[in-house]
Amino acid sequence: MKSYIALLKREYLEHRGVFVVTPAIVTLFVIVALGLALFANQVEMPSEVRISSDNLYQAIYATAASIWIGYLNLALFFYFADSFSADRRNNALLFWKSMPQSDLKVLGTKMLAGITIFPAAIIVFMLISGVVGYGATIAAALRLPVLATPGLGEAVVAFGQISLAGIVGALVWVLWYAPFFGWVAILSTLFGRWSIALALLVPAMLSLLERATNIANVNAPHYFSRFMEWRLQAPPTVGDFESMAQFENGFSAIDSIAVMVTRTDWPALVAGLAFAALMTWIASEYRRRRIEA
Amino acid sequence: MTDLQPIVRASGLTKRFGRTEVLHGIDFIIPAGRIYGLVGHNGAGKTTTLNALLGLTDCGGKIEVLGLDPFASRARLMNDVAFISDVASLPRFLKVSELFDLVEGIHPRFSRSAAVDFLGGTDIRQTARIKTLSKGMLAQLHLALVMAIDARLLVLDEPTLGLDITYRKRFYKRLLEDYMNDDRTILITTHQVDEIEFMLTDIMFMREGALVLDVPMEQVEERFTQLVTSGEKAERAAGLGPRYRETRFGQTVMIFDGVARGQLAELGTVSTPGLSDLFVALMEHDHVNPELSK
Repeated sequence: MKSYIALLKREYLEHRGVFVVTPAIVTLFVIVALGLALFANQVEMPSEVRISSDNLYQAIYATAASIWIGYLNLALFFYFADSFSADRRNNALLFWKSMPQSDLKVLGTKMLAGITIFPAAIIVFMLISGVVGYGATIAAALRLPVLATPGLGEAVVAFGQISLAGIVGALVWVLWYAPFFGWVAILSTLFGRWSIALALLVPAMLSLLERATNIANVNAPHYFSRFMEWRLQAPPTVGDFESMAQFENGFSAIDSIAVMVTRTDWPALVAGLAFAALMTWIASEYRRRRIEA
Repeated sequence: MTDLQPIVRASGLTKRFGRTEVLHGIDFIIPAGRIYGLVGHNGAGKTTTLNALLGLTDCGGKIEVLGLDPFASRARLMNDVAFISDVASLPRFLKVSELFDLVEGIHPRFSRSAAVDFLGGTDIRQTARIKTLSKGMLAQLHLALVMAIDARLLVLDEPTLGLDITYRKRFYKRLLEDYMNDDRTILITTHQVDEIEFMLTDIMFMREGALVLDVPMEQVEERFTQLVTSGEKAERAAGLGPRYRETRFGQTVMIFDGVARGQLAELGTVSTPGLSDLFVALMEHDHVNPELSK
């Protein structure tokens, strides 16, 4: 356990720029921008929009949560593309291979970091954005006479509901896209910096090949292309709302989570996790047998 | 209780890179409590041999380190083996204190307090980022790190490459005084063989993937003799079959293997050759030592 914690901490130290520093800068930038807007009295709302300040806060926070979930998955894609070959930079693989830790454990910890500490870091910023969103709503209410000041009690309830749904949404997204992380991770182990390009190019080439082999048959099923289209579709998340009307009766975490649970293809998600685990194991064996430090 | 099992046992060790065989079935045994020097030209196979015994590369033949197959059990083996390579390999994104935290977490035989003690006599601060350290500081830090690991075998592959003479002297002094004991074994490769001669118990010379010498240092004195002579005596000495011969400032220097010193003493000044002279003598082919054919 001690070694897993040390290796997770190492991942955090090496990649905190993407998962902590950048989100912190973005959050600070948003706070400053909101402050300047308030200071310069640049707070406007179209006159046709009819929304209570409570609902406005929920919409702001739910949107921010969705953006953070999207950012998390994008950052994780680049993290796996980098981290599985990072040990080869500056001869550091010699150091890692001098330690009594197996390649599977080192790479497995990278996968573990990708589904635990880094989502946790982004969730913290998601929660901060909920607080910032409340401040923004108060500021808007101060400047716009059509908005009443949002109640603290209602805001706390909404914060809790959206946060809970956001946390579940983040986990569902990360687990759903895990096979793509495993895919780019093994490419990183095999090809280093070319992994990102290859992660996109290889499926595109396979799809093209499938179409080329069936070029005479316009009704050909194109199994691979359809599978990739389906597998790349984002699972539902906290920001999956049709209109502001969804918030009329207050955001319900239970309803939102129910939508996520019922619309997620769980067997496919589990199969994707197994694929990611398999990719990690193959990467570790390749690193152990073929990459000579 | 004395551990009779050798630290390293290699037999018929081979390694191929494509069609090129770089290790040609070498055999050697390294017992416990010894300091071995492994010396050879660039490309002689030293690093490949070290990589084989560290489990970093798969080889033909058989090699056991502390009773384990290093390639199959590298992670387990590294509990008892530490090594420093010929290139700086410490993770550059960490601070020194973070490196100690990390190694404390992943190496059960690492003593943080010992590492801090070893750093005590240096200019390295624990708050320093590794990427900002000079080459000499990196070598000192890495040495402090591995000396704080209670390992049975320490492998040093050109550990002082590129360092100035002060660092090199300090490096080996600390190794000998602060680290070495009867339970530990050290294997060192270096080109600066004269600098480690004083501390070696055994010497191995490699040439083109083969071991050409593997003897305890006491045997070097027993087996090899350097003779400085001239004139007619040089001609008589040449008849005794020197391994090496060259002319220096009008005198002839020869190195003999297995010729009695008493027999040579009447032909000139005899002494034990230094390791660098012996290395040159044993490494050179006849065609690059044309004086042998005179």
